[in-house]
Amino acid sequence: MNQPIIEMKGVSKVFEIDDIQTHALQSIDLVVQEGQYLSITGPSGCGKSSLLSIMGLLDAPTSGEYKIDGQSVSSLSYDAASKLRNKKIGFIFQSFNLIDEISVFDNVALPLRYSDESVSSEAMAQRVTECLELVGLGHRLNHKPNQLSGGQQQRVAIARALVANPSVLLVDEPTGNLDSKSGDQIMDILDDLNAQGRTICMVTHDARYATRAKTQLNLLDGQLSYSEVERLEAV
Amino acid sequence: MNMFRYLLRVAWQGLSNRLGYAFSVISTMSFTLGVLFCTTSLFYFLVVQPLPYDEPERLYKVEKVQIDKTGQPNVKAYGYASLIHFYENQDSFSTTGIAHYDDDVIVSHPSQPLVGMTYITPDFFTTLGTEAHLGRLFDETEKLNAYSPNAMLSYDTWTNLFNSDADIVGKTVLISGKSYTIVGVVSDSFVEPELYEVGRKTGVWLPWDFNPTPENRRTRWGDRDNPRVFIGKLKTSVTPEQATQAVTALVGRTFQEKVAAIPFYNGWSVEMELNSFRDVILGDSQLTAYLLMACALSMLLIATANISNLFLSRAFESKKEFAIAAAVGANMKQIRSGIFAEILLLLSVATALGLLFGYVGSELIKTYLHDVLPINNLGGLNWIAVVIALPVLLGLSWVLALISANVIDYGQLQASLLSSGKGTKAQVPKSVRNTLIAVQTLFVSMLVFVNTSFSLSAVNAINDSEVINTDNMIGLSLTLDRQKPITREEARAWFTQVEAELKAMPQVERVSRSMSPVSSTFGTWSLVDEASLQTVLPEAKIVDEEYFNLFGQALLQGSMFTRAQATDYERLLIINDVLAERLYPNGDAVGNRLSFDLNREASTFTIAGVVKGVKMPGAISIPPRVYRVSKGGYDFVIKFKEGHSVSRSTIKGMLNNISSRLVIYELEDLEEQKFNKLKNQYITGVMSISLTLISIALAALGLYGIISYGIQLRRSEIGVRVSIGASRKAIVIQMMRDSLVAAVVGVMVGFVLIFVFKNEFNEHVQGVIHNYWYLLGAVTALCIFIIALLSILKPLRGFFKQQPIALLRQSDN
Ligand SMILES: Nc1ncnc2c1ncn2[C@@H]1O[C@H](COP(=O)(O)OP(=O)(O)OP(=O)(O)O)[C@@H](O)[C@H]1O
Ligand SMILES: [Mg+2]
Repeated sequence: MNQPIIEMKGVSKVFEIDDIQTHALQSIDLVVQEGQYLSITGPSGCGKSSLLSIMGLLDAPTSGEYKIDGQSVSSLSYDAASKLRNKKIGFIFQSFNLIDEISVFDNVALPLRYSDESVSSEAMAQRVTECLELVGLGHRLNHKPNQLSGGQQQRVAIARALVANPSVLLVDEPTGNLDSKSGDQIMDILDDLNAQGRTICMVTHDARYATRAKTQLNLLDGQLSYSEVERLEAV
Repeated sequence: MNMFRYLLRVAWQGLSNRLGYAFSVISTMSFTLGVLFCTTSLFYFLVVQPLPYDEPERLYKVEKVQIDKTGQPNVKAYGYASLIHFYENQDSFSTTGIAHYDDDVIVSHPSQPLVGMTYITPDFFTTLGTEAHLGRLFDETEKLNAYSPNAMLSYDTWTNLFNSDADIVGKTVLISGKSYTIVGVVSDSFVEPELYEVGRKTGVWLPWDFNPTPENRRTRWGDRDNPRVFIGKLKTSVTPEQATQAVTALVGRTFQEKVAAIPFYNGWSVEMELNSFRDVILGDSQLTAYLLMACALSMLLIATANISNLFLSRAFESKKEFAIAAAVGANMKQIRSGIFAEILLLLSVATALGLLFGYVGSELIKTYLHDVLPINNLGGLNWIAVVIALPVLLGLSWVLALISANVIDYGQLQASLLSSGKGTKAQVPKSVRNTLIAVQTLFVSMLVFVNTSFSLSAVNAINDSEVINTDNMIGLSLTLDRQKPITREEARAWFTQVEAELKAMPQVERVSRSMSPVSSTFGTWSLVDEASLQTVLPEAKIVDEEYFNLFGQALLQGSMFTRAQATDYERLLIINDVLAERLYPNGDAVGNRLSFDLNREASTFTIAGVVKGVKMPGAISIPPRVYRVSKGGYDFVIKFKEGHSVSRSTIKGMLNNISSRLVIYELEDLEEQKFNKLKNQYITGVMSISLTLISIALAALGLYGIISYGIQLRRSEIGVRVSIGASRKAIVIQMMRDSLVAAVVGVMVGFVLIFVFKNEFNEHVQGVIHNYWYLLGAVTALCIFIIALLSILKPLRGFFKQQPIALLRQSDN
């Protein structure tokens, strides 16, 4: 039986600026099982990124309950949340968010350095190289991120997300800054990862890529609905 | 015009997103401007402004330097007869005047105030070009040897002590048993030249003839007292060098005739010295003014570093905005105008604040330093200074702005825009960031080091255990109302009774009938050791048998004076250990004899004991000293029991019971006298330390600005690290490590520089650098560590208060 990795119950997010309230998320109920490949689509401004941020503990919900691996995370301290992110979550952003000043190797190694478990430098080197080879960049260890193409940078980001062996990958518009060929390559990598058992939660507004996911959700005005395919499977 | 307003609005918005940056720039600039305004104003008053006299550049104070047999200058003093002879016979000056400075009590005034009395010849005022406010100035009536008992009041005395009495002319004042008729009040605009002592003001001007030199000394040619001043206005046909030669010949001739025959002066000679009024009045202060100016300029240097660092960082940060502006068609000029609008905004605020600081600072200087600076017409903030200082700093900042604007390669702007989709946001390159931090640290480390050594040396000077102990002591000087004659015996009996009554007071621990060593000066005696024939010139003081016990000077050899020795006025000396060491390095000093003139038994003294030497406040070393025993005169030093004291009115009552003719001449806390002695040191110390503190604050501000700004710019990077799972501690350590490497380099370079200049600098701080090298280094390093830590924690705290997602958002804020 599959474990639920993410359990959300009645999660809402309200932004308040100058007395104007934006209900970015309204009472979201969502369960992501281990090994699931989930895509979330929806028009711009519907709350996709907000949902992903809350999932990734980068933001706190206004109300609702949220568990990761069965552990409630509603009242975690700043550092406890960081620790949990480090252990359980791998992020892949639209704008890659690599650190320009350090090498590709160091970028990928970063989660291991922040990890609680001390990792020997040989083990670290082995793991980092392994992950970079997985995304086809084993030969670019010593480059600086800005010496790589966009597609290559996103692959570095994927390697970084994988390196600490997280429970779930949270992916926000991974192809948004890429041409279609690079985009396809990234999507192929994600497919492979899921095939190997990785849990993936991906936000995209590209219908072509959304359909690669096994479960497709649609977010509209802060509310989730299951897509046609999912409904069929559910029946 | 519209464009201009638009630019200013954009600049305003940009700055409100960068309050830390705006704060750093504005505080640095306004601080520096304020200090620059103050120092240039002070500089103007001390160095540039002409002295307020007729043809001030031709005015000289002429001094007679007595040169001892070894060729060393000994004292600067006129013998009474020699001064009169010089005054009557010189022909290098067109007008001259002589003055004798003293203090005395106006006995006829209900409050019996002690005021400065200056005894002058009438041409003293003519030479300066003085005018009268009321009545007349001294004239032929008061000329030398006319003995006309007339007086003039200073404007302050007239207003403060005589309520600006319009009918003052013709009234009389009683001073030292003599009644003087007031003939005039000196003009309000007259600025008394401080020729004799800084801060001394004359309250009453009296004719030269009545100066307190006793008759028997008026015929003396050699004299070592020096309350006498000669001033003259040089003839236009004579150069100062010619005048020096002529007057040296004139005075030298009479010196050889009248003085050289006295055994003491065997082999001595004189040299006359012409000192311009500017040098006499402003001498040390001019030096201070230059010193302050140097401090201010070094501050300017630091400010320049701060500002250029900040501008540079800002320019790098704005690179992306410029790229976008360029992409939508802005040309170079428009982009530059944007930069300048922002800088203009900053500079205007800074200038306004700087003027405010300068004004307040100048007023403070005027209020608090009025008594210490030798000029009586300090004018506060000087607009000429403002007009000079303002363009300097503004121009400088403008140049810096230009440079930082040009650092950006506009050709690459478009390219950077195209590639801006990838990677994190535009950042100040690490190398630039680190260089800026290193330069700032260099400044801070040098300043902290230098300032700490100044403070340390000041603390050392104040806590010097060798300085004379004056706890719980007062000095009391009496004088007599001599309207009716008083016999010597009568007066002596009164003083003896005063001593007895003081000792009988329950609050009093000890009484010595001696002058306070803090307020009075020591004499210089020329003594020959009978055995070795070695001549020494120790400082000398006449004391009674209680003196050493009172001041806690321990006896090292021999015995203390006794009451009987004092009463009999025996020819006994006690010398201090410094003199003993010099004269009798490996023997017993006691029993040896020192003499003014070995041929005369009456001039020969026996050494009774050796005491531990004490330092006078402000002195660097302890000079050799001799003390002669006496039973004392008009002066008392009283030590109270711990926690007790006696009021002036109690003492006055006690005196009155003995005789109504006993008048308090001076009653002063010795601690206060000590402070007065140290006043100049304190003021220069405080001034330079506060200036250095301000520069440290500035440099620290700069370091803070550059580090915290650097962190601000790493906002999104920090966001990435947090999202990957970095703890707050890990982030702090990372930022600390990044900044500290550069900071350590800066500190190292600073220490190397300090080390290179160590020896020159060490002299100015009494060697504290040699003794406290490690402490100073540790303090400096600690300061920098703390500043760096604060600069890192401040922005990080702001970051950690928000949810991590806020750091990752594209916008800068
Ligand atoms: N920090 C914030 N403050 C205020 N409102 C916010 C904030 N972040 C998001 N919002 C608002 O919440 C809503 C959802 O935003 P979100 O970024 O989640 O949309 P999205 O679905 O990711 O859009 P896109 O596809 O364009 O990335 C939007 O209306 C947005 O304006
Ligand atoms: Mg989004």
